[in-house]
This record gives sequence, C-alpha cells and structure tokens, in this order.
Amino acid sequence: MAGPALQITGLAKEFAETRALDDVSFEVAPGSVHALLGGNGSGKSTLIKILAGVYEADAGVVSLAGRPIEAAKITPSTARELGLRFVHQDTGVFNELTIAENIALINGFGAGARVPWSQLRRRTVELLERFQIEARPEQPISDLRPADQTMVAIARALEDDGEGLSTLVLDEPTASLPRAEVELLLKAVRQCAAAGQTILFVSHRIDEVLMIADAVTVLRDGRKVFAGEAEGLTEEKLIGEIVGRPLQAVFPRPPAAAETRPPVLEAKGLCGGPVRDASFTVAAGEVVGLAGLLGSGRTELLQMAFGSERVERGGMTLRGKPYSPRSSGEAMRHGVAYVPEHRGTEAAFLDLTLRENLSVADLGRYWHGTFSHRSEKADAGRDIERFAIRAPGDQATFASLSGGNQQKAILARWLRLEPALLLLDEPTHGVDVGARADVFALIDEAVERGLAVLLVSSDFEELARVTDRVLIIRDGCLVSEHRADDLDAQAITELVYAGAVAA
Amino acid sequence: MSAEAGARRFKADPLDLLERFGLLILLGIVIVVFSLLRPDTFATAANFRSIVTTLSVGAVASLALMMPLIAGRFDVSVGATLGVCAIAAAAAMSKSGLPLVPAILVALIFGAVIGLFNGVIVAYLGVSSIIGTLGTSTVLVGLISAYSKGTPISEGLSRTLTDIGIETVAGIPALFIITLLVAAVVWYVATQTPYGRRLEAVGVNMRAAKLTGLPTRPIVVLSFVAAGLLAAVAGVMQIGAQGAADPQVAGITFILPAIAAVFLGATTWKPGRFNVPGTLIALFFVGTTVSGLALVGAAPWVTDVFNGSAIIVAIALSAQFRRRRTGELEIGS
Repeated sequence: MAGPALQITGLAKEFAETRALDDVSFEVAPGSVHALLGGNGSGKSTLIKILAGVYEADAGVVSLAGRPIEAAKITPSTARELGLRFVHQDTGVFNELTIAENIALINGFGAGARVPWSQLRRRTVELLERFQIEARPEQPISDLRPADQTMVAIARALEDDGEGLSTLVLDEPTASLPRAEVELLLKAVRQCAAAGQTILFVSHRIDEVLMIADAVTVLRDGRKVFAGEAEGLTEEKLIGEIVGRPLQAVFPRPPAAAETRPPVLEAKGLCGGPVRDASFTVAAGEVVGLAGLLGSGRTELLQMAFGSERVERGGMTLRGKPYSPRSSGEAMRHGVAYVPEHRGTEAAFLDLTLRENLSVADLGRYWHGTFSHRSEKADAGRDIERFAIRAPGDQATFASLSGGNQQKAILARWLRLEPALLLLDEPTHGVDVGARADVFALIDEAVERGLAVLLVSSDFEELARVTDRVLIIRDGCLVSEHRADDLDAQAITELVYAGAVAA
Repeated sequence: MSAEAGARRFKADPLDLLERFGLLILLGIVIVVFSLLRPDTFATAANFRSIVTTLSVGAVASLALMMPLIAGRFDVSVGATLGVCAIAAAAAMSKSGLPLVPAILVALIFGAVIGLFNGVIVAYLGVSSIIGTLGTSTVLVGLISAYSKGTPISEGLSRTLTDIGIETVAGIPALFIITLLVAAVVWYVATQTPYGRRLEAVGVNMRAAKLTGLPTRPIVVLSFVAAGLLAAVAGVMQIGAQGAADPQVAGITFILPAIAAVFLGATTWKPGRFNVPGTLIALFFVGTTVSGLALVGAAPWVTDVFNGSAIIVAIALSAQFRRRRTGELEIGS
C-alpha cells in the first residue's frame, strides 16, 4: 500500500487559555508500530481523545489510508468507520463472561433473535487463532493471564478488519499490567504489526517504546518536538526530548546530618501490592515528596501507612514505636491523617453540610451527654475563616462548594485532629490556582508546628517547590532520594521516567 | 435544630420553603377537603382519634425502616420482625404468664437478636440488604405460622396493654403519645448524637466514611439492631391496638405505607435526607388520604393503588431532589 496508514495534519485544540495541541502533524506508516510519547500535560491524551471523537478539535485534518476527514468532525462512530480502533488502559472486558461473550457483546451476536452459539463459537475460534491467543471461546476471560486479556480486547477491536486497513490505538496498554506480563503483551503486539497491522502505541514507559516501536513522535507542551525512526534512539535522548533539555544527572543526596530530626514515620522493607522493599523516613516538620508515574505504587505506599492497604512484609515505626495499623481508624488513633486522591468518592460527603463535613472525623469531641451544636458551629466558623473556605455559610450543602473549597475543608477536617503525620495524595488535583496556594500555606503552617507530611503529586513543579526531600518511586521500588533544592520539575520528570539511568 | 438554623430557614427562598413544608401544607389541604366533603364522618374528633391510633403502629414501623435507610440499607424484614415480636410478647404473657414489663423485654430481645442477625449478614457477609432481609423476612413469617398455626393470641394478655388502644390522655390517644415519645428518642439518636451523624455519613459515602476512620460495619449493624428494637416496640403497640397478637400481621404488605412514608418523608422538612418529622408527616398524609378516600366511598383497591403510587412518587421525587443538589441520581442502595 502506498502512503501513510494514518496522517495527522495541523491538529490544534485550545482549552480556555491553554493550548493543549498546537499545529501537530505526523504520519504513521502502514504495518508499523508508531510510539507517541509525552509527559504530563504534553497533549498526548488530548490527541487520543480527538481521534476517538471525545473532544472536538479546533483545526486539523486526520486521514486514514488516504481518506481525509476534518478533525473537528470526528465522532466515535465516524472514527470507527474510518478504521480507527482503540484499546485503552482499562480494556473494558467483563471478567465474569466468557471470551466469546466478551467479543459478541461489543461486536454483535449475529443476526436473528436467537444467539447463534455455534456460529459465535466458530467465529471466536478463528479470531483467537488469528491473534495466536491460546484459549477456548467458552473460557471465562478471568481465566486468562492479564496479557492475554488485553490481547482479547485487541482482537475484539480488530475483528471486522480483515484487510488490515485500520489503525489500532493502544493507549497505555501496559500501565496496569504486572512486569512479567508486559513483555508477553509487547511480543504479541509486535506480532500483530509483523502481520501488517498499523499500531499507534501510547506509553510513558520509554524502555517499552524502544523495545517495540519502529518510529517515535514526542509531544511537549502541545507541540511536536521530535519525530523519527526508533532505531538508534537511546533512553537518554528520548527523556531529553520529553523534558525539553539535555539529560543532566541529578545525584541522590540524603539530607545532611545536621538537618536530620527524629523521624515520625520510619518504614523498613515495606512490601505490599505493587510496592517492593520500600524503606524511608519522614521527620517532624518535614515535607517529603513521593514522585512516580501512575501505577508506580505511590498511592499504595500512602495507604499502607494509613492502614487501608495490606502490608505483606516489612514494618513501620511511628514516633519510635512499632506501627502496624489494620484499619484507618487505628491509623487515626495513632495520629495519622490521609487526604485521598479521589475527593468525590473517597473524602467528600456531598449530601452533608459543610459543617458536618468538617467535624465528621471527630464527632466525639462535641459529645458530653448531649451534642454541643454551639461549639461545633464555633469550630466550623473558625475553620472557614482560617482556611478561607468560600461558602454561603457552614450549613451549605458540600456539593455546592467548588473543588478547591471542598479540598480546603477536607484538609481542615484532618488538621483539626492535630495529626503527627499527614498523608496527601494529589491534594491539588482539580483545585484552582488560588486555592492551591491556600492549601500549601495551611500545610506549611502545620509543618512549622511539627507536622510530618508525605506528599504524592503528579504536578512536579509543585512537588519541587513545596517539599524538603523527594523520593522517586518506579515500578514499586524507591529508586532514589533527593534534596528538593537540587530539583526542578524537569529533573523530577527525568527521574521518574529514567529512574536508575539518571542516577 | 439550633435556633440559628431555624432562623436561617425562614430567610430561604420560596421554592426552598415549598420543598420543606410542601407536604405539611398538602396534609392540611387533604384534611380541609375531606372535612368539607364529609363534615359528619371525617371531621369528627372520633375519626381523627381513630386515624391517629391506626397510624401509630405504622409510624413506629416507619421509624424502624428509617434507621438502616439512613445508612443506605433497606430492612425489608421490619414487618415480619414486628409480627414475631408481637407473638413473642403475647405468648410470654398468655403461655408463660409473665407480667407486661418482662413480656415487653422478651419482645425487645427478639427484635434486637433479629436486627443483629440482619446487620451481621449485611455488614460482614456483604449480602445485599434487600435480598438478605427478604430472606430473613420469609423465614420469620414461616416461623410465625409454625408457632401460631395461624391463630391469634388473645387470651391471658395484660389488660393494661389491650386497653391502651382506646385509652386517651387529655383527649389524645395513648398510642399516639407513645409514638411521639418513640419518635423523639429516634430523632434524638439520629440527629443529636455522634452515632446518628456517623450513620448519615456512612449512608452518604461509604468509602469516604471508611477512609475517615469511621467503624462502618458496627455502625451498619447497630442501625439494624435499632430497626429490630423499634419493630419490637411497634409489635407490642400492635397488640394494644388490636387487643390480640395476630399472626396475619407480618410481612411486607403491612409495612407498605411505612415504606412510602420514609421515602416521602425524605422529600420534605429536611429535603434529601431521611428525617423523623418528614416521615411522620408523610405517614399521616398517606394515612389521612386513605381514610378520607374510604369515607367518600372509594373501593378498597384504591388504598393499594394509592400506597403503591405514593412509594413510586416519593422515591422518584427524592432522587430528583438529590440530583438537583449533588448532580447524582442514586439514593441509597
């Protein structure tokens, strides 16, 4: 076939004031694996969402196998007609159903009112053979190993594409796979390409990209900054393109002896979930950052310290005493507080009032045989003022507050308990700039009084600015530790991508 | 409710006021309309006493339903528990010759044990509350008919209890006074204690409650125990209202008006939340309407249709109110 399988020309998209995509053009050769790389905010996911018809582009043309369409006109169904197929990180398979059912649910059971089971079986066997998946149609999909489950999702997406004219978009397919499965999946994807399938491979794992891709496009700040053959590329070169400057080694530097204070939390050889052998300390009056990619184990590490994720091996001490909380309640009684990543589902009580949200973690303090509404109200008023929470009053429904104000209230809820250790998971996610400053001012105030903070944030600029030390977590391992003075956002990006390479 | 909050309420906009007091106004309208239609039969002190007495048992049953519902759990077995406790108290008096107070204690123990069982299967075994308590309910109805062979227990009951259905204090039926006392206790527990507030937090966001360190499982179990205890109180009151423990009074149809009341109650007074005053207003709205319809000569099937529709309208309305406030549709689970 002549010409590119997928050609993107002049793609642009603006959100409010930010240019998410600025005149991006590249092409993908038929039968090749083309990797799309970029850090947080590079525009990579905006591009995928435009292709999928989720976002409407401002300008640009997308052409598939020589058939052009204005990017603004792509809808999920035109994307499919044109031959774009998507498999996302969440593959959308139904664990309880069989392979055949998983395929038929999306691609149709066949004509007629009755399900033609024998025909469906044959169809599935053929498909499994075509993609070299060793499984039987009637097996529940949960029987398969994770890499094969993803392959079934890929096979499902490509079932109606006999001539291989389509382009398969794999969006972070390995992010939630265990390490051992990744290689299997990459091998299978490579085989697909060898059979003539065009693949656009989106990933933040550079080693994978170098293993699998024929060509690479790198986006940064919405612009294409690199495009070329994968052959001859090095990990350093690609990280340099993602970050936007040549790689500079940032050497791990533990805090100077004079700076060390007695640790509040000390973890030794902590294992559990994806986390492997994590040892670290957080001292009183110190903010320690935890930087890692999605799926690196950063959230699980916080949850282990809060008793909501099981510790398989290793141990912790809190203020010098052995600490192994079995529940959040127990962690709280030891003076540990946790602001989770997903505010709406894990921290906010949207139906309750602001006042009730502020005091929900410590209602006992108002109970002396009768409930003291007066002191609850007084405390609410004080916190609303101190934390600059903007609300019509303390009886306002929590859902009516903005994200930033909700987050301030949740922080206030925890700081009331005067914890010794505060665990923060993406505390400024969905929080406006003004409220962000407030949030950190309040944290600083508490830190000055001796609070220890462990902070996870994927806003690396923020991480470099507000922390004293930063721990880098990669694939569940703490790979290095740095003084925040040595770091900026780009350096942290380098470190989370490259881990040991940069060090 | 503090004085400040009370003052705030009257500053609210008219739509808010309508939402809060709409049902109370509707109850007033229903009373006025039926009084005009049937001045000789409906608008009499005797009729009001009869309505109030009849609804008393249902009112306590609806409060029993309300407790687990605040935590987002549905106790379908309240009707059956009520039946079991009534039979247990009656049997304790009639067969074992126990005086009234120990007999009431027997009923309360039965209620608490059934509630504990429900709570444990829901909170610790992860059974869906509707399915789990439907199972309990079916078992209990079976046990009642095995024990009673379908015959009511009316002999050897405490006279104090069997007369209470016709007793009045200053013209107010005694059963209604008991209902108000029980309602006051439930209101106090649900809104004036840390437990009630935690219960509500669990119902609003279970995961957040867990991550805020609340002991979510014991909280849920306790709400079922409270439901069992309240069902026991309703069961004893039922003996008083009927003068006998009737094994037919068990199961789900008996508590249909109570279900309607709890959900309808959540659309009024404190819209979007299950609350005691709203529940009582709703129950009396439904009960008065049904009684009025009967007096104007509506056929008996009208009651069922009205009760059923009230439940559907109530649940739909409360879901809409919730969506308006929080952008989410689901209420309870």
